[in-house]
Amino acid sequence: MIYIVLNSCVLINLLFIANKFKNFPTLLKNLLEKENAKIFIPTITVDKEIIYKNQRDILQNMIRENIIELVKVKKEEIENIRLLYSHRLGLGEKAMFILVKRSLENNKFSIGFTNDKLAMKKMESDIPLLHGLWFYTQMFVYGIVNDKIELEKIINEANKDMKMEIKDLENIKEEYLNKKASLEEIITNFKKVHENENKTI
Amino acid sequence: MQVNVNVEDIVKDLTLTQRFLVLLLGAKNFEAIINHLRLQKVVFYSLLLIAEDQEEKKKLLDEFGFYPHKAGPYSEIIEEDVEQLCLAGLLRYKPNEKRAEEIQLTEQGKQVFQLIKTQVKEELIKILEESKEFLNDKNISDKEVLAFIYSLEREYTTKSELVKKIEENKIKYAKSLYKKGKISIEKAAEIAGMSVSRFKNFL
Repeated sequence: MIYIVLNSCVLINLLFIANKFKNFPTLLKNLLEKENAKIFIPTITVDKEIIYKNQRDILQNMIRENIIELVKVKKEEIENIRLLYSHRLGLGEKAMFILVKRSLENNKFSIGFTNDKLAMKKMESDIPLLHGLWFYTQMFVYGIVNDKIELEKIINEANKDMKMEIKDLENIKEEYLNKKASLEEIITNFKKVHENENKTI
Repeated sequence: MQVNVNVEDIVKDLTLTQRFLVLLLGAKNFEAIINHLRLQKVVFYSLLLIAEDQEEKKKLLDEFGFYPHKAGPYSEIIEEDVEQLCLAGLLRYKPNEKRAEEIQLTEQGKQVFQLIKTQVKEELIKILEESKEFLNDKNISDKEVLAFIYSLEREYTTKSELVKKIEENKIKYAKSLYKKGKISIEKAAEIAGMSVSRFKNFL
């Protein structure tokens, strides 16, 4: 099974979509079944303030439906993380890193999702990562939104602050829209690259 | 008459903190340090990255003489070392600068750097490069640097004359550091002292 771990921005985005499209949780469930995946979220990511009230209800439903599972990561473990760039990331991002890394070390397929440009740039050499846009593009792939322009509108509405980022990631988005790579392929490729690096050393 | 001084002899005479400063000035392709405030904070941040645990962090910060000062963590040892290294001809203030604040290695300093570099782990150089890339950046202001450093180690801000001002403007600095790609959105929200969803409203 593939362990999908989200940071807070992606979670907020998912809840935004779920609030807008009532059939999204069903899509998500189908998508996860198809990919043989489950979403795990570090509890530290879901603080009291992080989610607006109506979205908190949606989250609780998704937990009940077994789409999402909350996982506790000890604060000391997050604080003791030794990464060159760890001080530039938030607690939730570091918790995501720990969960993905832990799963990989236990030979489980695992992948992190973030919308943050810096987190993506810094962590992608250590863990397999995808941009949160992947979830949006699945809406297109699954036909919840059939119009690419409409999809673009939804993305921009949810990410008002990140317009530039979306523009920068246009190519990546295209790749997901065309569905050139499955989650499993992405993780396998990541593992292969790292195995080769270890051999070189 | 020109006196040829052996680089190895120079290195032998340097203290631990002086060697560290030479390494820092040499890292990232000899990039000059913007000013004394940046130097202090880049050294401080590097030590946090080097320390493997809380005990080692305390030991290192004590060894480098860091204490709470009017602009946060400050070390007199570093200031004295800079003067000593200038006198020894290893450091200099960058010429042609209006205020001559930028500090860089001299040609001899660069030779000394090359030798010290062979004696330390590659990981240390990577840490120094990361610290310089992050905090010794002209695209961010001194106050933005302070907002970040103050968020890491509160106990070093007790004597700071700027802490109130930084605190009052923490959302502005967090926003700016995030927009410049220096910190992640979650870190920015932490500096701003709020949840990510609330912080997003300020962007």
